[in-house]
Amino acid sequence: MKTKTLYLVLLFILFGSVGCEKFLKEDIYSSITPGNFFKTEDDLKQALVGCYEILGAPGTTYRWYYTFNFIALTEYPSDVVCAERTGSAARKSLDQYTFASDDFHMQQIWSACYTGIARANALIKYAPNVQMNEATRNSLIGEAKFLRALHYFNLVRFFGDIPLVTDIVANANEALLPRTPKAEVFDQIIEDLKFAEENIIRNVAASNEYGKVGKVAAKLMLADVYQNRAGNDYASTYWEKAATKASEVMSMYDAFYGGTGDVKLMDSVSCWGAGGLWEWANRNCKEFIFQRQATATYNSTIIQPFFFLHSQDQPEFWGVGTFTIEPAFYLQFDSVKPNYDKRRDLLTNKYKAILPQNAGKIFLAKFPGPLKYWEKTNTASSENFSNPYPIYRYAEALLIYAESLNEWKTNPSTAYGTTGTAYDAANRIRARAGLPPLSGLTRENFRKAVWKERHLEFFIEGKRLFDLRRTKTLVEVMNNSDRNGGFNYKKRDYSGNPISKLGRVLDDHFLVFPIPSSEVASNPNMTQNSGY
Amino acid sequence: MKKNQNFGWFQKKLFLRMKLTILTLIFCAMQVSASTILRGQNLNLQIENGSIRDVLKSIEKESSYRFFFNDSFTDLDKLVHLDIKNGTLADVMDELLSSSDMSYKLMTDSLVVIAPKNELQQKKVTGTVTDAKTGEPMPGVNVLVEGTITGETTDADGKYSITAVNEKSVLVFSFVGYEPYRQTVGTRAIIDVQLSPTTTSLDEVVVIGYGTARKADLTSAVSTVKASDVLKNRSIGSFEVGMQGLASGVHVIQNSGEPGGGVTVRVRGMSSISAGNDPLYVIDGVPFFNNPKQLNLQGWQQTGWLSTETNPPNTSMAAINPNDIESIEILKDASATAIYGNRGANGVILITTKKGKAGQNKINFDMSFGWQNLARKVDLLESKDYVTYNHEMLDYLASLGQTSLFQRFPDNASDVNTDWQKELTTRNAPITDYNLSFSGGNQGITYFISGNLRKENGIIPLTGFERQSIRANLETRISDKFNAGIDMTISYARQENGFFNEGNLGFTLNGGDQRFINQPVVRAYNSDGSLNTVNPYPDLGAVTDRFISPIRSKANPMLDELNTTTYRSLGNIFIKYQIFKDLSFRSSMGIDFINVQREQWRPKNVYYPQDNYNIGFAFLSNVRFPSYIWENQINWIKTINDHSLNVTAVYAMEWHNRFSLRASTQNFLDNNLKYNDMTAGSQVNPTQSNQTSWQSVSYAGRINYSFKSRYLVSASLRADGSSKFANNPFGFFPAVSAAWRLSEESFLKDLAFFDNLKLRAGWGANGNDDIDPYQTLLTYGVVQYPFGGALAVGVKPNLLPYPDLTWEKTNMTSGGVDMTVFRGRIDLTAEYYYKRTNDLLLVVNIPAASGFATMLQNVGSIENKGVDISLTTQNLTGKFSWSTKFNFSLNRNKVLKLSGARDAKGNRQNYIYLSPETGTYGTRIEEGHPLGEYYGHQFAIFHNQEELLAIKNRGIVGLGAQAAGIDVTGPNGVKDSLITDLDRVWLGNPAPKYTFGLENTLAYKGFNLRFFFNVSQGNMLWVQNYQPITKGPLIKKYFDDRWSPTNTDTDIPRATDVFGSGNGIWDASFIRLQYATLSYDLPANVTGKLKIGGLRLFVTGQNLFVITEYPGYDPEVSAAGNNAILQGIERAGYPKSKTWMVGINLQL
Repeated sequence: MKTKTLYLVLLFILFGSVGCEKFLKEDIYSSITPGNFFKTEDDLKQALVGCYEILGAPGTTYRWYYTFNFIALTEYPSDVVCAERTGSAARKSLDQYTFASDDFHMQQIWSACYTGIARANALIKYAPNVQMNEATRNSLIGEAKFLRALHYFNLVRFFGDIPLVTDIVANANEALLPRTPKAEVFDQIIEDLKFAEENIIRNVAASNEYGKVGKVAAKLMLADVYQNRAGNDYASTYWEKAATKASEVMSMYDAFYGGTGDVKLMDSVSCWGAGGLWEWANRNCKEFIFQRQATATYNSTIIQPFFFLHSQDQPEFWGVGTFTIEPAFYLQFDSVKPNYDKRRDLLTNKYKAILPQNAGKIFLAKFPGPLKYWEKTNTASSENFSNPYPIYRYAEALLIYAESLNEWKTNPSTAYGTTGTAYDAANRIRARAGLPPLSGLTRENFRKAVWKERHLEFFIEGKRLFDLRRTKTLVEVMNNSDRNGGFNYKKRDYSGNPISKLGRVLDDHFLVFPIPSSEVASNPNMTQNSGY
Repeated sequence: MKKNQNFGWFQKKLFLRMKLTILTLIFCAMQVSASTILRGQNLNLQIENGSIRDVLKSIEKESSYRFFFNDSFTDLDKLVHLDIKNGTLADVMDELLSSSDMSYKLMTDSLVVIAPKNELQQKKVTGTVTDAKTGEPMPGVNVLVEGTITGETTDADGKYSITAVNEKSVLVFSFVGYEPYRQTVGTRAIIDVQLSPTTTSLDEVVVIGYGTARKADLTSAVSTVKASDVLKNRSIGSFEVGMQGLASGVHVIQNSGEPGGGVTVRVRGMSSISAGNDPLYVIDGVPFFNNPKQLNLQGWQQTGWLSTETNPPNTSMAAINPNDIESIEILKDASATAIYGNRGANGVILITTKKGKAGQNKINFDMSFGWQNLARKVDLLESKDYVTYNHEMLDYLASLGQTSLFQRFPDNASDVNTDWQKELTTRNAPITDYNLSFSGGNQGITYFISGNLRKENGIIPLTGFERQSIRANLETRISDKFNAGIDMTISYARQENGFFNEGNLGFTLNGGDQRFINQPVVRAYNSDGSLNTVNPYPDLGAVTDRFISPIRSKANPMLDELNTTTYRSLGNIFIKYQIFKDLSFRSSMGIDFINVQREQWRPKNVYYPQDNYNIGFAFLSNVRFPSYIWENQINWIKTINDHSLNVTAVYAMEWHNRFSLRASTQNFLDNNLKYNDMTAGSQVNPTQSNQTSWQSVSYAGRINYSFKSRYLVSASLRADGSSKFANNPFGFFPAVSAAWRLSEESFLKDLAFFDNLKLRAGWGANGNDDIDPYQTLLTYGVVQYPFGGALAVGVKPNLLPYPDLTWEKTNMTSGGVDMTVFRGRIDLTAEYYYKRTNDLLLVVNIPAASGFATMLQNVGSIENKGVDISLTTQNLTGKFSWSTKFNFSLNRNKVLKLSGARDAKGNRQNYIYLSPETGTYGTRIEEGHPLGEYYGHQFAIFHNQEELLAIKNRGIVGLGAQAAGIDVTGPNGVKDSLITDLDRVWLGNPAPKYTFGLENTLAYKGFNLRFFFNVSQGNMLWVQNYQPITKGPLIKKYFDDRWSPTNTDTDIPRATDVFGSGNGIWDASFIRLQYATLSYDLPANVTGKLKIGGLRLFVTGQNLFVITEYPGYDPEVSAAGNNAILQGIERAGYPKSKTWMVGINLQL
């Protein structure tokens, strides 16, 4: 008995000293291990979904991209949206230009862009090893390159020179990169987009894959990139490139110009009716070329409650929405018939109460709210909305064409190819809005007219800030705008004077945002933009 | 009847007894039929030169008598001559055994036991037990025959009478609080005994890591909390509450008043930012998993490393019934905790549950019931003043040409004046607690089994806590070298709290605490007595549901729920084997099965500012968490002359697995089904599941050496391998400590002044690995993206792996003095410690070009230093006794270093970036500052227009505000008239400067009165609810002291609609009468007459009063649970209650 027990004890001790290394190996259940990944076509497709996912990644605050941060960063610091009623000091500081380099929206969008770039880099690097049809593979790589170009385009427009990384990063030290001059980043963007344009198989996404990149999107973005490159240099050769690309989009894909019919300009800008661009049922119509997708339960967007179309009957939210449209902007739409701008109807201050106590009651908001992206069928005020967010829509091809052709040909009356003159393109947009055609304008006046058209056409679509920066008109517009228009609400300070919205007088250093402080602090090779 | 020769005497007896018992049972059953035949059976025997053994055999053959004896008795082989005719059994046996040293006993009609004479010779002993000091007789003293189950207790006169002893028997007299006394019977028939009270606690044995030690031999800091001192007669719900304030260096905070609510326990400060600060709990040697984040899923929040989110309340601790606890030992310094390696950095709390004692069969029944009431009412505005405030605010804004979000109450609004604190709380919310235990045993087996049933109703209706638990601790003696046993508990705990729990931080961020307190102008009930659910002011600007009665009644359509149910089965089986005299082996297998289910319901039509839900929301989560631990331990204890050595070696393996599931649904048509049928919600959110597991392997060794009990040295080393650290699985945690008992030296011994004087010092290293697994591996996680509304599944890399990740390392140096003087009248322990944690597991910002924003690395360090003092004095002894326990703790925490990254200008990054969003919670982690120190804008009053207009970005403070942040600096270090993030400053530290506890015990005859004060000084609190706004309740102080042209010397703004004016930082120092308990033990002469072991009646009160400057419910609060970064934050937590309980304790 004694010996037996001793054996038992020894057994216990021995047992303990074997298999320890194996025992300490982590068992993974809920993740995929990298050893067997990037081997098959399916792997590649899954990795590509991961590349798209960053556009609207849910939940994880630091990665909100096109669901919130992009909109906050493009709209508050421009002249459409104001932060009058938000409780967030951070949003107010964007609105009033009192932000500093620790602004979390900037931090998050920076981080989101680079996360998207890293995912695309991995796909682009590993895809050539996958045994599969060459054309299909290049099309998948093309989509990844488009998305990488989109992130870089956003980064240069927000921050100027930024680190350019096109390979995978294996550890934190490899990420200690210096900034690459903007021009080189643009070269990479253009190279990626050209690859996408050539290799993506589909023209536009079919109905079961809305949200995927097609050839048209690559061409249109290329036109946009060229126009941005041209900036306010009216002798730039990029105008020609921009106009040509826009023309390609129009002539190749718009049946109006004899194209395939893959894209079209919707009949009206209304949010009501079958031909309405902003009608909820048409949310993936042929005018939308590339959009961030969402469903109510996944990647749900927070746009709707922030613009606040529905009410909780709560007076503190009366016309509050986090994104409050500036009354001054509302007043810029022509309102006198017969030249009534139909796009004005996309702003409203009426909303219906939904709580039972006040059901059906109409409240008048103190600020207008937009009806773009209005998910009519969803009356909740939670974050669970499925409205897509347009990144490119066909109307922009027409306005890029109008603007760049006018600069390239130095007047709005010279036609190019089958797509007509700058007037023709701009007036299609105006006609749809119910406005009389432009005519008899000088190059400079036409330029300004197109700028205004873009302003009115694309409000809260994330275009305005970049237009103000591209054209170097930011300082002039922001410092001088009458930011206290009527709209049923006149906000005055104690002396009865309109309040200046800005916390400070702007200068040109505001043409880029500061590099996020966390980046500067974590990377000794990183410099800060001047003035910050 | 053959037995193994190797079995010792003790074991033989054991077997004998077991068999006897079984045989007795069998014979009893046979008796009816057989007895008549057997009785009177006579024998004829004729034996020549036969051995006794042979004789017995032949008797067995001839008759139905059966003999029972130990085969190894040498006397059995003695040869005898016998010639008996028609003799009785007695005739035969007397003659047969006459020449031997054996005797016999007829057990039943036919069973005869043969044993050595001295064992079977029975005699009777009587005597009186008296107190050695007072000379008074002592009733209730246990008198036990050593090594048997025979025992008696003394009667009211201290007298006992015990039979069935022989000359070699040893009597053991024992009584709680007295030194046990052993006496061999010998030839005496009367044995009077005097028992001496235990004068010093030095011989007390305390539990340490993987073993026990005499308190006198300790070289490290161990606080012992005896359950009999702390938990007795209090009827508290959890043992952590019982520990509050009673041990120095241990800071226990009750996060809120919710029944069964969370408690934060910190041993000697906080040493980690991201990896947890909770001590390790070890119950009967088995580590007890206690990470609320892992066990208790929040609704929709994700956990993060640098988390400013709340930690959910933890009901897993409720599995332990405080009544089952014998003692709690808190290992505080590293020399004691290092034996727990990478889990000991935050201190170790060892819980020993009650075990049965041989020969002391007891039945203990406790029953208590009581009532809870709101402990403190906050002074809130009545309607009249409320309306005045509203009018004053709006008149002022109108004079500025401004409108407000808020509308004007009609003058007659003050006709309704509801006292919501009264309406919303239950008076005398009942608590009931039943506890029944059986304990005892014999030489073969000891047992403790208990059952507990506790039900607490919260002071807010439809909230509460319930526990059902059973425990069984059994140990059996297989042989004198071999023991085996099981300690096991099974429990059910359920918390029903609605949304009043500390896990709900942020819920009231925008809304004040409207879920608990409403505006006084709102009617609670309609005139017909029904609940008011109609908004009386539909056109008024205010949140609608604030005009509906928030009364928690089943009839209220607003009733929300948040329930947590925890099932926990926890236990271990063990064997102990004495290999040699000095060498023992113990192996135990522990299992811990936890299942936590959380149910959440938010009704339709109720607006939640936090997340805008108004369509009904049901959420269910379930966490299944099995853990296994296998520990093997060898102990070698050797004393040679003056040298004594105690060596321990441990080998342990652990495996943890966690599976979680969560599902939620929204958009309900009505409020009928709640979470009970999730298909009733039309909007189904994705169901999530996740499985993780981690393992560890540990080797540990310790040597304790003492010379003449005077010079004591201890050294230990533990190697821990953790699966969480791929490249560095093993870490080594050494410790050394030494002590010198000066009182044993001749120069002091002769003084006889010091009962004990000991100096000790130690150093040790500990680790912390309390992070999620898989941080060192590249893994891909699943993502989804909806193309055209249809979800496509994709993958993304989860993190940038950091394969070199390893533990946080904590080194602690400490020293102390233990002193007992005046024959135990004064007992003092004072300690100083310095603790530094390096290689913090910390989330570090990395350049985003890596594809990730942050990464977990080992960087940074934190220090804690402090002083613990405890002092126990016996002020009066004798008939009337009075003793005092005082303990004092002081800890200073400081973040020494963070990531240390340098920016382009070469500046070291000396704080952790908390985005302004999270920064609104008001803390920041910065080098040179304590963890959790408040950081934000400093508020000041604008006394005139100029001061206000000087601030350019007034949007940030709001117009009409009379108070706003101060412009401190600007981007270039110069004031810029803008209030930005740059103007934030340090506002206060939530950690107390020092804390102390003072307990007094007064006893006279059967009466015992204990009362305990808990004091915390210098801790700050940040109120993030009671805002001086008209949308929620209004604290009267904000009304009375508000700024006005005639009252300018104030820091409270004028009547305003602006949110967050004033910084809400309060000094939350307090003095609390934590409890008072009066008990009465029935005198022994009464209990003797009643034939019961004892009867005690008690009345106890908890949280009887608190003295503080803070005007809210309670200064001790933590809305974010045990979160390291957010402490002392008040956000409409569950108000604390005052409890009175009466109880009875019956011993049989």
